[in-house]
Parts: sequence; C-alpha cells; structure tokens
Amino acid sequence: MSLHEPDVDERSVGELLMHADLTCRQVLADPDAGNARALMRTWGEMVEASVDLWNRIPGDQKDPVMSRIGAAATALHRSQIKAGWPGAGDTDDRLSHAGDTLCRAAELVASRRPTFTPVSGVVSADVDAARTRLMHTLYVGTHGVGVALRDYMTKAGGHLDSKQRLPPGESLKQARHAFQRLGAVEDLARGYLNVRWPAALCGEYRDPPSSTRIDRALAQWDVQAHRSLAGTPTTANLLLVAVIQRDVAVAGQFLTQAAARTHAIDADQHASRLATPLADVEASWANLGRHLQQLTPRGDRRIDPALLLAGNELRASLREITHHGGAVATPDVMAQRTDLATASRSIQASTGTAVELGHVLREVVQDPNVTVSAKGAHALATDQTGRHPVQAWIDAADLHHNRDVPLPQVVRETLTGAIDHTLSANMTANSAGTFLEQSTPQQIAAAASMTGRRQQDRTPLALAVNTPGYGCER
Amino acid sequence: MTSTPTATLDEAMHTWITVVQLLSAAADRGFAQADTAPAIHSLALGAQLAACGALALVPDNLEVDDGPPQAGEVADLVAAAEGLTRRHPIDAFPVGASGVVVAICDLVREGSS
Repeated sequence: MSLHEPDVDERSVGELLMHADLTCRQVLADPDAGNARALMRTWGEMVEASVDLWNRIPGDQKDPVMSRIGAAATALHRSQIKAGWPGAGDTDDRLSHAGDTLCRAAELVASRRPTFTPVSGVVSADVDAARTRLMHTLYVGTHGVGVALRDYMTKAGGHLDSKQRLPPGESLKQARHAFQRLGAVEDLARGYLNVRWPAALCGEYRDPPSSTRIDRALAQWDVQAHRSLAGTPTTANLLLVAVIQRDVAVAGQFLTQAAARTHAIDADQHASRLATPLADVEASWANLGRHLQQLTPRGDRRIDPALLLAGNELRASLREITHHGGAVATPDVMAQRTDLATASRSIQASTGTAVELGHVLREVVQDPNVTVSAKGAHALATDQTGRHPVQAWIDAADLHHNRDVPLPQVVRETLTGAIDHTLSANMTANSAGTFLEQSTPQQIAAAASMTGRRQQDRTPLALAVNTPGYGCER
Repeated sequence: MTSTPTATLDEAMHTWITVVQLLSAAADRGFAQADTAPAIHSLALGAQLAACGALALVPDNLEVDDGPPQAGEVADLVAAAEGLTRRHPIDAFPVGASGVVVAICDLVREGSS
C-alpha cells in the first residue's frame, strides 16, 4: 500500500478511516522489535488523533471509553518523559501516517458537522460504524505496538542475560511498564469492540458501485490474460482464464436477465435471441475448465500474480452488482446498483473479446513446446480414452516422477475441441446481442413523448443500403 | 519479523498447505455444482483465487498434493480453511499470509450470508 496521497485528498471520512485501519494492520502484520521504540514514540500521537476525531463525530457519546484511553496515553507519555525512554529519535512512518489520516478525517468532520444534534437513523448507523472503525484502528495499532514491544523485551532480556547490561538508551524495565499499560488500553478497546465488531459496520455508508468498474475490470483482465498467456502459458494460467471467463458468462446471464425483467433491455429479444447463446457460452467455458482442472493437479496451480490480481478485481466488480451475500441479488436491487443496459452491453462486448482470447488459448494448446504435468496429462488422457487404452500416452517413469511432458495428442485434440466450442459459442452470443445497441421500445416511447421533434425526425437520414459509399468499389 | 522456532514454522507450513488443499477442494466442488446452481460459481471462483494466493506463498521445493478427499459444501470447506488459519499466530505463516487470511474471511462471510 502506498503511503503517498494525491495532492488534493478527495477521500471521504469513511475512506480515510478504512485507510488508517489498513495502515495499522500493516503494523500488526509486520511487527519489528528494532522499531519498537519508534512505535512507542508515535503511538501517543495516534491516540491523540483518535481522541480528537472521536470527540468531533456527532451524536451522543455515552461510552467514555475513548476519554479513558486518552487519559491513559497522556499518563504514559508523562511517565516516559520522566524516565527518558524511549527517548528522542525516529518515529514510525506507518503509525504516524495513520495518525495524520485520522487528523484529516477529524478536519473533514469538523468542517461538515451539523449545528443540530439529532441525526436520522441512517446517519446514526453510519456514526456508530465510524466509531467502531476508529476504535478498531486504535485496537489493531496498539496491539501491533504491543507485539513489537514484546519482541523488544525478549531481545533485551537475552542481551541482558548474556552481557549483564543493555546498550545506552535501552531499558527493559521501562519497556515492561509500557507493555503493561498498552495492555490496559487494548483491554478497554477490546471491551468496546466485543459487542460491536463487526456488526456495527453494517451501517457504514458506502458509495454506490462505480458504473465504469466492470468495463475497466474487463479491459484490465483482457490485457493481462493476453500478457500472461504470452509470457507464462502454463495450464494453471489457462485454467484461471477459463474459470474467470465462465464467471463473466454466469454474471452476464444474471445481469441480462435482470435487465430484461426491469425493462432496461428488450425482454422479448433477450428471451428469444440472447438467453440461450449466453448459456452456451457459460457451458462451453465450463467444459474447457473441467478439462483443464483434470490437467492441472491442485499443487500445480501456481498463477501469474498479475493475472491473479486482475481476476480478483474482475470477480469483485461483477459480484458487487450481481450478488447480495451468498445469493444472487434481485433484479430491482441490481438495477439500483448500476445501469443494467450499460452493464448488458459490457457483457455483450466481452463475448467479442473472448473470441480473441479463445484464439490465443488455441495457439497455446497448438504450440508443440507446451508442457504439462505427467499426472495431469495422464488423468485427462485416461478420461478421454478409457481406463485401458491401446497405447500408453504417458511414459511410466515420467508419471512416477510427475515430470513435465509434451502435451499428448489426445489431450491436445480434446482441448482444441473444447476451445473451438467456446469460440463458436462466443461468436454466436456476440451476434445475438447486437440488439442491445438499439433503444428499447420504452426508450423510444419516452423519446417520442419529449417536447420538440420526434426521435425519427432527429435521426440523420441513413444511406440507402445499395448505394456505394465514398471511396468504395462501384 | 521475529524469528520463529523451526518446529512451529514447519507445523504452520503444514497447516498452510492443508488450507490450500481445502480451498482447492472447495473451488472444484463449487465449479461442479455451478452446472445446476450458477449462484455458487462466484464463491467457488473466490476459493480458487484464494487457493492460488495461498499456494504462491508455499516454497517451490515443497510438494502440494491434492490431499485427502474432503466432505462438505463449498462454504463448509472454506470455513474449515479459515478455522485452520487460527491454529497458529499470523507471523508463523509465510510472509503475505495476512492478505490471504483476510480474503478467506471475506469468503466465509459471502458463503454464510
């Protein structure tokens, strides 16, 4: 995660809180004993920023927990000044950044805080979520500092045992005191979170999904799939391409069905032309995926990290529209989340790019230099030719050691056939979806009812079909 | 990162490999079930992506096999994988494990709601 921000910070309070939370998780995920004193120097600032933001968030503050944490941090700071530990020196960049982020959030809240106290139910839920998120940030950050301090004490104890003294500026006694006091703060934060985390986060206000996210994710996926297959054409990468393409097809069916039911697209055209071809697309990718699953043992499914990243983003972009928890969202809910006509067109366009991707897959499979694991090739070849084939497809020694072997012909033919099926299915679906580019009867009727000229009057005259265009052969 | 006793690291890596196997089994089961219940495909894909992310943290010299046959639904297998990640402190797992654990927790939520 980058610690740098754009010049103009346009993030909302919720986004800032989330960023601070993730930054503190980094502190916890990578505690460093060598950095313990820097963390201790910075922890107080983060608590101060948390207390400031807490006090600025509107609504009743019946629970005085944050005041107690603030008081504990101030007392610890005083003790540390007296003891001269951790002393002057560097601060921790991550914790300092989390504190700065919370300060920015506090400024935003202060500039927008309403002058009246009562808040609506929705705002109240958002406020509760913000307090819970803030307390979690503090809890995780404090725990991270505590873990680093514990490691510091272990190392300092070892050093003291072996050399009977500590380097100047180090103190095991002060570290122990600080550790105990951090533990008390952690207990306070945990007590607050026990009854709220993560349930209270459900009330967190979220911006609606970006309308261009699917398009962007599809484009990124398409580019990355081409790059990965050109660079590392392994069966694991082929498998991921097949299952992601199937997911696009599954989501495409959900989206177009919802679009038809909410009249965002022509329901009759969808039922008669598009529904079946899209189902065929999904079935064809599923078939290819099954073959590639057999060909790729679970332990061999090491994926190009960039492809994994693009796949994760595409899945998330589709899922935030099509799903609600573990189930498929209702058409009305999907319609509230995005423009279903635009999303349907994106899916239709993706069947066009899938044709190109299918050709790349075909080239990979046809490449005589492509190798696969012997076990995987044996599993698929056996499945295709039966348990007792006349000819052994895989050498017994290769199978025993699971060496990489050239693609056996029967496996190549099976995969080529499956890819050809995906190609034809995608081309059919792409052609069948051309009606999505046209206006629905409802849209035409709405346009006709507008004041001014009717839609057909505003439409430029089309050239006659049999008239050759400029520069064309006559 | 603090040093971890070798025995603990080995146990943690063994657990981590079982997590990979459980997630892969969840994915394969979900892909098969999606033929009749397409809504499960997204969860299965999530399990596959998490399995790939987890496998990437296993050193190349360690062999990961398919593991024993696993019973249960996709959500059960993902929940079992999440349960395994609690057996060891996060710093006993390979560097980068926290991101995978968060992804598995997200999948548990997706599967249970």
